[in-house]
Amino acid sequence: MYVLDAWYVTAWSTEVSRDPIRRTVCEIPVTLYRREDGRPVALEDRCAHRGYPLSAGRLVGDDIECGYHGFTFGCDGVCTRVPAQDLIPKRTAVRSFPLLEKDGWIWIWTGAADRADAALVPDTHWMTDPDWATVTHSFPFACRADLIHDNLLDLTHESFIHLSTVGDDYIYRHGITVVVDGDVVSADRLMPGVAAPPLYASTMGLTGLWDRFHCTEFHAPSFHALHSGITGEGRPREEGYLIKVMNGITPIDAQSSHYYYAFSRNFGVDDQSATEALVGGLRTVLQEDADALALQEIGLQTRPPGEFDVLIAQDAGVAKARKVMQRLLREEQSRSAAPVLEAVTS
Amino acid sequence: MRLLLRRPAADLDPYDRDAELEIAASPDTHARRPWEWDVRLTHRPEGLSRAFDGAGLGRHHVDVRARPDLISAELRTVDVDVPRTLARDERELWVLVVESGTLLEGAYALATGDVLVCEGDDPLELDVAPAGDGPASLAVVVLRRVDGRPLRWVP
Repeated sequence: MYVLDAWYVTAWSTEVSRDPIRRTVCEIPVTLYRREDGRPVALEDRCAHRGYPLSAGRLVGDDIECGYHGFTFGCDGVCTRVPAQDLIPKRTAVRSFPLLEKDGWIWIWTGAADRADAALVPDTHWMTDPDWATVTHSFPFACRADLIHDNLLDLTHESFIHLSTVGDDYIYRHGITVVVDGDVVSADRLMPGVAAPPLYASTMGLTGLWDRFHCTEFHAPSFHALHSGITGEGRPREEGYLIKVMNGITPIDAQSSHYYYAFSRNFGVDDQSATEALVGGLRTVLQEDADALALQEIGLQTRPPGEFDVLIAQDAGVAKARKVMQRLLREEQSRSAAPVLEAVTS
Repeated sequence: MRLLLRRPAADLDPYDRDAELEIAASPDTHARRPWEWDVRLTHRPEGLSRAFDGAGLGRHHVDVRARPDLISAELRTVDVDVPRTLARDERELWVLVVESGTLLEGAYALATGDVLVCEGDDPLELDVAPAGDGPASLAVVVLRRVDGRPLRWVP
């Protein structure tokens, strides 16, 4: 099940143009394109006539024409033309989705449109801030989105999965502080007096000991901001070499997800060789995670009923995030089940 | 392990007398193991409890229930008017509720209504200091296993 009253990253701004594309979000097929004035549009990618994907059609002005029999729909999903007849049947409409385009991502609201609230889209300003240099990737993951949430909320896996890049053998020896504030769960770890991990050391040419930190801030149900970096021993984090890793995790279906990734740094901003090194290094990190979680997905599919995870203290963030997700699902189901009271007039 | 909950009582419906909110419980999935203990925010206390009324959170109780053959429970109050260190035994689980004022605990500012749960071998010492104009007051729930083994808990 998916939390639908939520924003999900559905595309990079650069992916959406006047050529319709298809995406699947929470098992909902969606076609994306731009109006002539550049504003993005999202419609359910299934013609109301006989189910043909609208993304295989063409644009006529701001409307989209189905490639099968020419049914044409406006940006609001209402049918504007049926070539074979003048009368347009009342049910000839497709769902239209609220979109928000910000900082290079396009977010889609998959729930009731009147509940879409732009204020709920998390802060991603580092992606377009000139004081930060950003590297981006997109990755398909052959696993349920929940496994990616767990992965980001428990970074002790870096010591084992990412040994050649961001991992070190001390990460799991340091405890975490989990903070729960509404629908945001943060798992914070401070690692004082350690050597800079390989990715930092090679990119920044650092030696000696540093206070290293990372804090995964999960904005349920779809986005993690990983605030990471190293700073002088005993010094405030804000003074250090900072990294903001933004992770838009979008369920495709029960066994696959799309991972939208942005890595922003506030040091060596104009250093092209550092950027190129990070492109390769971060692709390696993501591939290592994708490979690991694909294996985990297989393991979970074959796990017998009645067998559950054995969680440890380092899983506290994972555990709390799961509870927040369960609460969001319950609340959404309650809203769906609540009777609609109609005004009685005499 | 440290778990900081920001003003969880804000989610407690003040008009629903049966409303309750779980802070910590073992187990959290009752179908799997027999119940041992829980710490709740509630309007209807059943165990060891303390009333709170402030910071716009409405009157409610921190309520501790435990099987006496397995778990011992204690509820203390701690005033923080000067910087001090609170020492926890590794075998204990603590639930600290900020009753009034604001205090600093390490890198974190804790405001009235915030709840901090500490478990395991880190941290064993909490350095706290008043952060506002006046002293802060804490209610501290201390849970121990009767058999002396460490009380372990994952949220």
